[in-house]
Amino acid sequence: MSNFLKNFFTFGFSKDGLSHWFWQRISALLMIVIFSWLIFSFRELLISFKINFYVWIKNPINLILFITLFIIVMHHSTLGMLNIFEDYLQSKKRKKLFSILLKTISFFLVFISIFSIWHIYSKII
Amino acid sequence: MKKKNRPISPHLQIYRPQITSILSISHRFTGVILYLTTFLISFWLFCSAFNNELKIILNSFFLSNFGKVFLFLITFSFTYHLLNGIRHIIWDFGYGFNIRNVYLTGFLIIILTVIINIYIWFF
Repeated sequence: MSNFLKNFFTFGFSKDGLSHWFWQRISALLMIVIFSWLIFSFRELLISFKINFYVWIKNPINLILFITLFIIVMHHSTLGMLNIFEDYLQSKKRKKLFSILLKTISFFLVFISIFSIWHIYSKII
Repeated sequence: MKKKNRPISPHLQIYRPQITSILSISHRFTGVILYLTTFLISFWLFCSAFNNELKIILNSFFLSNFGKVFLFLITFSFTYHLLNGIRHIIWDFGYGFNIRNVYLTGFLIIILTVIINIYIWFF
């Protein structure tokens, strides 16, 4: 059990398949919930997206949920891409190289996005 | 367990295409498209925050017909991946595993994806 918990809190990035499987599902369920909120929230936004986005992001709940959603999306998609590398890359060396590259890119995207969102939020307050 | 006997992913070139395998590989393929979309979203957010001129160029690109094809690909991938993902989660709870239901839900997903995309783009 302690071993399971230890692997569980690597958020699916350890070599343990069970933890990977679990986190892929957990993030998927969370995304379904947050995306449902986002889609309904965006219906009004889309009427004049350019102006309304800046107003919409000003609401702290929207800000927090949007950032949370972006992190979960990146987590889910990185796990998914790792799965594809696992299945379709034969050499272990290449597998390792690609997974490091992927994690770096994903982290960079999360960083850039949160930084930008925060900049937009703080600029208009 | 001997390493050689472990199950491997089907090789796409020699595996006879069936609706089940097509839907499975489409799930992965649309997942990759959505991963690439996150690059676009990050870039758009970055432009919105720091570079207004680039943002205007980006917005006008996605308002053009060529850009709309890209957006259609993204909404299509998103709805398909979402619906098929829900199907996967239902399977994970142990339901709908017999072959009739697998085919039925497969067709249902294709039809729903098409209907939702028609709704998004034409209404």
